[in-house]
Amino acid sequence: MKYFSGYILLILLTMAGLTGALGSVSLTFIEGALPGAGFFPVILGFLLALLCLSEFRNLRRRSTAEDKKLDPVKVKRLVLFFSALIIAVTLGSPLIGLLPALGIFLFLALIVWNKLKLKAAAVNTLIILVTIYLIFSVWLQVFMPWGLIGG
Amino acid sequence: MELVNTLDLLLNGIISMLSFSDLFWVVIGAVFGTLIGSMPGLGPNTGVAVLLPLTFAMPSDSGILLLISIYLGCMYGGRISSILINAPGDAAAIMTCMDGYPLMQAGRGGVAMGISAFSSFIGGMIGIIFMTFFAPLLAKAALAFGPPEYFAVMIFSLIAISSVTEGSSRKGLIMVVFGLLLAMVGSDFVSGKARLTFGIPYMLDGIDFVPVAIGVFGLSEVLIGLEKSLSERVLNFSLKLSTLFPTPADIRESLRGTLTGSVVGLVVGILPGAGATLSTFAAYGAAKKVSKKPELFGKGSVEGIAAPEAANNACVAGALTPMLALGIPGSSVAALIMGGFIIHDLQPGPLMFVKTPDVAWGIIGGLYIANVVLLLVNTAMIPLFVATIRAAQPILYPLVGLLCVIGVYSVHGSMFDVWVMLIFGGLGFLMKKGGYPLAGLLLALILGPSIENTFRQSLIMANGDYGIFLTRPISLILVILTVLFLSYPLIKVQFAKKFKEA
Repeated sequence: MKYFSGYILLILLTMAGLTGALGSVSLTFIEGALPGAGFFPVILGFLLALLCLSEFRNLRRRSTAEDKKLDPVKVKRLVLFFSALIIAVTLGSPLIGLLPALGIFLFLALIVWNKLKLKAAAVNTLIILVTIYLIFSVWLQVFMPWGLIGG
Repeated sequence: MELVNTLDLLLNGIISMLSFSDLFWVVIGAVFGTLIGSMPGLGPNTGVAVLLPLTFAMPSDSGILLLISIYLGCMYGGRISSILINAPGDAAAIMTCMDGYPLMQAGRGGVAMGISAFSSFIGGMIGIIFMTFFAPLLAKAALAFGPPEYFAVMIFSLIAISSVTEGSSRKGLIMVVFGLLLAMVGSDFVSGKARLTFGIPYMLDGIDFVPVAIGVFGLSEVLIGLEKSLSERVLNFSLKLSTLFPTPADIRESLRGTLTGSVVGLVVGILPGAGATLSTFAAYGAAKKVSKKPELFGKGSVEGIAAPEAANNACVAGALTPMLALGIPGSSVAALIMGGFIIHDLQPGPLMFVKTPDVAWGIIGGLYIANVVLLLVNTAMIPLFVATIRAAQPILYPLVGLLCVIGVYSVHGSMFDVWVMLIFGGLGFLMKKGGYPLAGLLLALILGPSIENTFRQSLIMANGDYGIFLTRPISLILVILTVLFLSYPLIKVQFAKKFKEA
């Protein structure tokens, strides 16, 4: 897992560095003798990409067989959990509201990943949602999106 | 005279924090901090990051006090699961397992709990006393700093944090550069031009540090925890509550370890980025060296449990001192707390002791109160913590995941922030799995705008002469130190080669 995580991360950071640097070349680099708006983004972007590229070499050279092991059960669990959270936020929130969507996510998470019985999961979810509602909506006065059900 | 003045200011600070509401939040922070710290895998970073949004609606002093109490509480709480089940609450509690768990197996788990709470208190107090006298002096000295010195000290802190933290220094440097690049997102404050916003209007104000912090410290920890199977996540243990309090002989025996750990923790804590984990390793080694019974270390030594616990608590004040006096956090948690300061419109740094001394001394006074409250909470409420850990385990990770989303949303009521948090949660997971230290990322994100600002101001002062950083003595020393830290990995490799050849 370590190898693949490092690999994916380095690809993403290299892309971020290059995008940052190339996206800022149109900005002023030096104005008179002073740094312009693009000075730091260009330098930092290229530096990030360079550092990541040198780390790629290191990653390949130093990774052990253990680092390259990938447990499909763990990966499946992680991908499912993360996808469920993203679905709750992107689809659930505009449809039924943020709190109810997260409530459904929590209920399912407790059953699927934490192997709680239906009743225990429902009770735990209800208690947590009511507590969160009281703290954030009532006490902190945070406006929660209520989706289509909230009009 | 100076001493009397300091004590007078401290006394006022303590009195100002003795209101009912402040005490209430200290107790809440102490209890929640200890609980979060005691959950294996969740440490002060997660605790402070996830609960940070709760403080926004509070008065600034209560909010900051709550964050600091959570930080201290986590350092106390980390020991609980180390002793009970040999699973450290966080990395800073790893060394507590060495002797805590053997004591537990020998039926002296209660004594281990009591001794570790006592040494945490002594370590914390020694650190806070140091902070009381050293932070104002440091702040006074820093008043003479101009932009070049500030620029040099910030760059030094970032390089030091990337060199000293765990993992390779190149990985640390990657995190720092990435954090600085993120700090460049938004409108340039001189020209007003949009930078790295890619046409997204939400990004014109820059990337807020709260969703980034909650993502990389909170959500990523949930993902790491979910990797474990259910049986690995559920704790099984029993603790005889009749043995909860140590005897005077136990306390006497632990004193040497406590004092050694306190001094080591304090010194290591001041070093940027060295952090609580490193301090506990160093303290354990030092305590073993000065102990009269070194052979007991690792087999249930009372000194062996006292030293790392005193160290990780002394380290808290060590990390908070540069944040309060210079505005430069000494650790990732201190950076999170500094974010809390900024959100409450408070700017830590030397001017805080001049312009708002009541706030600066209130915070120091609050630390004393929090430490006393934590000792009481961590001795009297151990049975409650044990019961809560047992009850919370089955729902812990999904609950923290949910709190991350709600907490981030509550800051600005923005779903964009939630997206940023989700992205950084995923990135944080990859960073943790890949062995990348996260402290530098957060510190760079917070310090980035000031670094750019002071760099420009320095060049304006010097009419564009880049040599200004080498012509002023303090900045020159800091530049030399920065170069030394940067070349440290190369020096290390050369030494290792020479050593091998020899």
